Amino acid sequence: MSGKMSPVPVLPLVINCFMSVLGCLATIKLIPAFKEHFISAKLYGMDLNKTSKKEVPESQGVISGTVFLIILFCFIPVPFLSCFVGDQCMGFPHDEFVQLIGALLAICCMIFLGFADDVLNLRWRHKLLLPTMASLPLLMVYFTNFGNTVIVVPKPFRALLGLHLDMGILYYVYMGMLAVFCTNAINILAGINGIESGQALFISGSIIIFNLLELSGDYRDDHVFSLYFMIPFFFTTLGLFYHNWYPSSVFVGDTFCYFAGMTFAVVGILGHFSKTMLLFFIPQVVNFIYSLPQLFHIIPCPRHRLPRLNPDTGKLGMSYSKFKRKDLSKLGHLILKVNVAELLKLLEVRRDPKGEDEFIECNNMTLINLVLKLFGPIHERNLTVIMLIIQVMGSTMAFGIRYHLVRLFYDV
Amino acid sequence: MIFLGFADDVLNLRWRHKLLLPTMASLPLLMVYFTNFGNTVIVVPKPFRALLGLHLDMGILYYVYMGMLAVFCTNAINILAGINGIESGQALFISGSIIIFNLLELSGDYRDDHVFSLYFMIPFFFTTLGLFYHNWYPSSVFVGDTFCYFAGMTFAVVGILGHFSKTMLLFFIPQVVNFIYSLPQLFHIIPCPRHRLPRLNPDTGKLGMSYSKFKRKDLSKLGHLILKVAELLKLLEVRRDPKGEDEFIECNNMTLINLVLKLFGPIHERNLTVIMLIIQVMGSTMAFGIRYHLVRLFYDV
Repeated sequence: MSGKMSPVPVLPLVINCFMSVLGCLATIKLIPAFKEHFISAKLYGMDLNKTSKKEVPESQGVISGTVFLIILFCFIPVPFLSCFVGDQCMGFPHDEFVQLIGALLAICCMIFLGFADDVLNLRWRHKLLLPTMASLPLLMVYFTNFGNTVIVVPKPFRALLGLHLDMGILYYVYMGMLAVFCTNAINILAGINGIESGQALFISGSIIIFNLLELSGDYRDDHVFSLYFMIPFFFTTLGLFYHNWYPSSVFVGDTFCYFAGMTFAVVGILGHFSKTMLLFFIPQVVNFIYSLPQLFHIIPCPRHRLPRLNPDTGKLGMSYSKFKRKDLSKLGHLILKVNVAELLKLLEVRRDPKGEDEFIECNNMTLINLVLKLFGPIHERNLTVIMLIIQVMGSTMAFGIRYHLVRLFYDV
Repeated sequence: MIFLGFADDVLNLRWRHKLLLPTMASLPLLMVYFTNFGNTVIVVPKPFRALLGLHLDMGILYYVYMGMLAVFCTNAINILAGINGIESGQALFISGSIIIFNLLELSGDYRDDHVFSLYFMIPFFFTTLGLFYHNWYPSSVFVGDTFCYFAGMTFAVVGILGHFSKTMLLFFIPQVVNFIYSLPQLFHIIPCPRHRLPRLNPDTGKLGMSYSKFKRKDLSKLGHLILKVAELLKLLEVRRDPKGEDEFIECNNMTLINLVLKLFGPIHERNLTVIMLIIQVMGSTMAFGIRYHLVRLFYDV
């Protein structure tokens, strides 16, 4: 797979783009068409940041996901057309074919399990289990197709570990965790209209640009493979974004976060650029790290951490987590102090000094709240725009790291 | 298919979707067939060889057939339904029959195809057995359209990729009979109510036939013809209410289950399902007979 210098398959890519654009239009039309079905099935939510109690259809990721699958099902023979028309290939490339089918299987499983989660409201531990199970086909395909678990050690560690290191089964653990991470990283950077579909749109756009840049490199085939998935993903998500943008007429649901996370993990793993892909996740990673104290319940974590609407100004402000001073562990107190006192200014803590029953309030530790802390209350639409600008800045930084700072770590 | 079937159960999609979804879910299957074999040439059955020759290239019709196979299997299981345990039960016995067929063919020329089929039929059999355990009378759970989609697609997959779809359809004899008998109602030539399952008689605790009631004048000429023919063949019970213009007609819903009730009279639900499953076994036995004996009339073996 790696290192092939075959010509860029222009025709399959053009066909893929054409089908993807159709998919975008189909998604835009299908979402309102099924609105009643979702409401009747009780798959709706209330927009917590709006004053109206309108029912908003949920889980619309299932529609963009299904359109994505149909596009790719129809696309399956296209990369191999040269083998049927005119016998231009030496022998049928079964390994590439298996890779395509295996990737589709993993994504399809994930959309299914994600939709089941949305419908059945599964527990948190399932949110870790489901992506792992859906990754299994992917891991199996990797095992049978490449089985390569040797990595190139970054320069700073070469004195310690040598040039190459065989990760063995840890490589598979890493791949399995990648899907779990991507899925949940998108899922927790949420809560304002348009941010889930928006961030996925910009991440996939960044990956597409990266793939296009790399088409002139040594690993062309890997990047063409990634484009076959990223282009339909971009356009179907665009259709979803059209309805999800402020003010949201639909919500994307956990289905979409699962779908997006798995698709990114698939292209990252089978395209062999997972480290670069994670660079495009910088805002998600920052949000994840900032959220860790609450995710591990060291600081109490409420059900929803989205920003709170101020009905008078119509703007969103930070949301807070309120708890009793005595209920907080020593580690929790330490985190509060480090964040507030040591000039990190990453947390706003309010203390209510009334003896034993002292209450403490701190803002929910999400990137969105952090932005609100820096800029003050903002209107929801503008807040989403700022978050998407942060996503673009993260991607720009990623390109900078990948093409310049990379020399510090690897030989290029 | 499991995914789309579950989406159908959750979102209550319309009838035309029940035909579309299996077709879309078949696409990967058709693509794999195209890239792996691409063979669209069939061996012509003996009676037709004078007309068509020994081999016939079906071309794109072969793919249409494969696509339709999933649609058919899915819906054929779905309409033979309505009494506790019948959906999971019929699928259990069909997959059991396919497993026996695969085991018999392991000593033949196409061993790999049948091993492939076993890889799918064995897990299907045992997971369905677990479902059957809860779905059997009295049902503590229902299987949903999801199961019918799942079962139909799994059968279509092994039939297509194992190259034994004609034999597989032989195991569907009861489903085919039910389908043909249901055609007038499926095409709304005879009015088709929302549910056609048998009706419980609360006094006796037994199930009896369910009926479709409609006005005489609302029925087309073709409908009247079908009623007459079916009544003559004793396949249909028709009640007429002779009171002038507004005359009402009632006929039993045209399902295999109702036909059994017509022959045997009212039966307790559990026994009715047992009879249906016995019919399934009889159908499979007939299938083996056709496949291994009557086959000589059609093909060289």
